[in-house]
Amino acid sequence: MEQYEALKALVTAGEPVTVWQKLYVYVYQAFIYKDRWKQYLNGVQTTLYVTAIALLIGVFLGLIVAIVRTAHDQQRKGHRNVLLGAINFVFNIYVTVIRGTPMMVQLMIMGFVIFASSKDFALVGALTLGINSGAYTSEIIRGGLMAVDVGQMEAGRSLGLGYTDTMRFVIVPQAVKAILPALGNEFIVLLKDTSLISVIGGKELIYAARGVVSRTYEAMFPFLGAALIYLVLVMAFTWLLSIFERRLRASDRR
Amino acid sequence: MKKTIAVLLSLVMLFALTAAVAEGEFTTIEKGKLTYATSPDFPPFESRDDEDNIVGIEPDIMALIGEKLGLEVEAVPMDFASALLAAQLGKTDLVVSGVTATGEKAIERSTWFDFTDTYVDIQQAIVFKEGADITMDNLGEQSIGVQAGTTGQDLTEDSFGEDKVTAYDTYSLAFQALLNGQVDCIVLDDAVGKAYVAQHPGLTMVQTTYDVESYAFGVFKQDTGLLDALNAALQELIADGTVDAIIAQWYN
Repeated sequence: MEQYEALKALVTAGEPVTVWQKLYVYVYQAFIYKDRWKQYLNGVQTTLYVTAIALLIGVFLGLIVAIVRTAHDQQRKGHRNVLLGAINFVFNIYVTVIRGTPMMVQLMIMGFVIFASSKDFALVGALTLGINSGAYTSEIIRGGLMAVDVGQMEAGRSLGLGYTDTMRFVIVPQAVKAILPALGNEFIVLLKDTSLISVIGGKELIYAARGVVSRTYEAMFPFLGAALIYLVLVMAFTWLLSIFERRLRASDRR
Repeated sequence: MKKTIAVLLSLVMLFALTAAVAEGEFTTIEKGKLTYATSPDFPPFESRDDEDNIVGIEPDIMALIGEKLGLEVEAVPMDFASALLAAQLGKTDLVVSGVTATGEKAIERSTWFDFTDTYVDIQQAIVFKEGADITMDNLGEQSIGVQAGTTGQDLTEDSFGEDKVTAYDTYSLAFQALLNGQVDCIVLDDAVGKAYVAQHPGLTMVQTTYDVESYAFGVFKQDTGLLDALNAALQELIADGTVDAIIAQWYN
């Protein structure tokens, strides 16, 4: 602390100092001075909180949309269900609109127009990210469901399972295994996209880093630190996914 | 061989020396051009007009300074926190965006860029919706909106803690949040607050008791040639009353 203040005074006065002393001052003021690491920690908490909620919403929405759209597309000719057609139409609009507009614009609309009275900026951000992620996830899941051979459904049905049961015990487990890498990709993008919610006032990791930058006028270490934290989070995430994947592959014969 | 190198080197150095002198007393990042970073959501100091020109007190002063120094002047718009960094890293020659050059903030800032002389005084003020009863005394109980990187952010965060304060990239977004009721008030420089209150009916403003601050331009730290030239030009404009006239014109 005292050492930092002495060195900081030297740097501020433009006195010659060694590279290591300068480095010490920069790192100290970026992370340790005035307990600034707590700001990053709070930021990481919000980032994880937002990611978790968005993930749940995204998977839930994605699964429903994907199942309905697959069911609609795989109807037999001449047996069109009108209700299914209507829901499919609505979901189609949802996917088109969400995938067709930038994340940032969606955040601004949700944050400043639709939820104009909400003061919980992180939650609004999580909701927006979840709705956004749902559209992408639905297409990934749909791809997985469509990829499972028709024979699987026929086999399930001819063994006396209902449509729902066949889906639940035969089709979805096979689909999930196939789409896991793509799904992992989407989750990683989602985790990193949480950095956008600072636009509407969400106090996540980048918000904290920028706060420190604007106080110290030193951009390198706060941003490098934030990047490192994201990297670690994503690596941890990837590791968890790989464990899950390995478990699903346990019965594979190849 | 060694001799030839020595001769060549000294020739190069001589050439470099004459080149530097030939360019004049000051150097800019782009030759013949004075570039400044600014956050054009800060009326009356700088804002965007309908033709997307950056207009206001500071662009007017900069245009006159450019004339005096014989330089073409170019404004580079960006958000405030980035504008400060631009002048610090030498992406632009200057940051001209209502930069406070007094108090604790200035000591920190002057590590990173040189300040010209100050030319106007302002104080922090609180803007809120009419009907709300907000003063300096109960400011700590409100949710406060600020622009990221401003003195308003530092002062309120130091007084009331980071949880009470939400920093937005631009004032446009901060005011949208205020009108939506997402924050209770905005703490910002009084001249700017006044301009926003004039634009948005239903808003009102009170002064804070924070210290009076002064604005100056932040100059990329290199040789002091440019700083001296800018100061000379600025002092001329202050002395003949031009700066005051420009300020008076835009304040109304």
